[in-house]
Amino acid sequence: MTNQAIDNLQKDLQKLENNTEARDIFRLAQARNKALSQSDSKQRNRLFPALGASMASILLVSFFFFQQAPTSMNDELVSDVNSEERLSELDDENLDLYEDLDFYYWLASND
Amino acid sequence: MPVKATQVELGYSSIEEFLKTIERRAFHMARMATGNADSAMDIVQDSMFKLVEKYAHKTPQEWKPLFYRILNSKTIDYYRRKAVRDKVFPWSKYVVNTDSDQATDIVDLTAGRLSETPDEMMMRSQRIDKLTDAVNALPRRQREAFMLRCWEGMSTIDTAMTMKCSEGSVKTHYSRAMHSLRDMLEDYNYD
Repeated sequence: MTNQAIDNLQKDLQKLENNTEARDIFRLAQARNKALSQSDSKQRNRLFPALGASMASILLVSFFFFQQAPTSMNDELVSDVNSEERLSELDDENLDLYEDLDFYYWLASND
Repeated sequence: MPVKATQVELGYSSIEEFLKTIERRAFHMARMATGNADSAMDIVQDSMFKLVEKYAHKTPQEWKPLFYRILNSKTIDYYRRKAVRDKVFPWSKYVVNTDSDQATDIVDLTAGRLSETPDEMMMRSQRIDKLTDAVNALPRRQREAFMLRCWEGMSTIDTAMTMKCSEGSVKTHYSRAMHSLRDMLEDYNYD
């Protein structure tokens, strides 16, 4: 194929391009705008995984925290129960002794 | 300063300008390859999406080869999907959905044609139809080489990069394409 023939082909192809129908030009512009606007939405979409991961880690930490908390409360309850048991073990005489302890201290200091 | 010189040479500096300069040609290339305006539009839109999504950060010099590489792979995807569809739904082959079926509003045909007389318009239309048929008849790789080298005016290096092959292969494909076109367009009259 001669250079002239190639030039002619190129001219025709160029004309084909220049004479794109208005409907197609409009649709191409729409496609271009959609493609360009996706970069903004993509950036927004990229934030969601990070947000999700941070929320999940917060939930995980709070879950473990509340898992730990009841056990410590149980310990406190157990200790409370133990102290009550110890108190109940004390008979009335011993209780009186403890209640009058201040008096005995005062008496001892006067002697 | 060299950056400005490059921008002037390329004709674009932003991705939007690049897409504006390339979209019509890409559309016609895809249309020639698929024979269908709607499919061509989908291919071009997908290519634009992918370029902006994946390669917007690249230098403007790299956009053109990357865009055409995406366009080519999307066109291949279209052929594959079509082949599968034709196998699964054999009757779909007989549902002709080419551009010739679509009624075109006369208003849509007015842009840019005022300088031509009706005779010239008709002659040019016939030539383009003939050229389109000839280009469609080429094997895929030869068609790609012809479109990128002859129509887009890309260098052999850029074409090789776009087609993911060696420069030698590009030269071979292009040469064979030109030979085939010469045979098919013997009576291609240009006044």
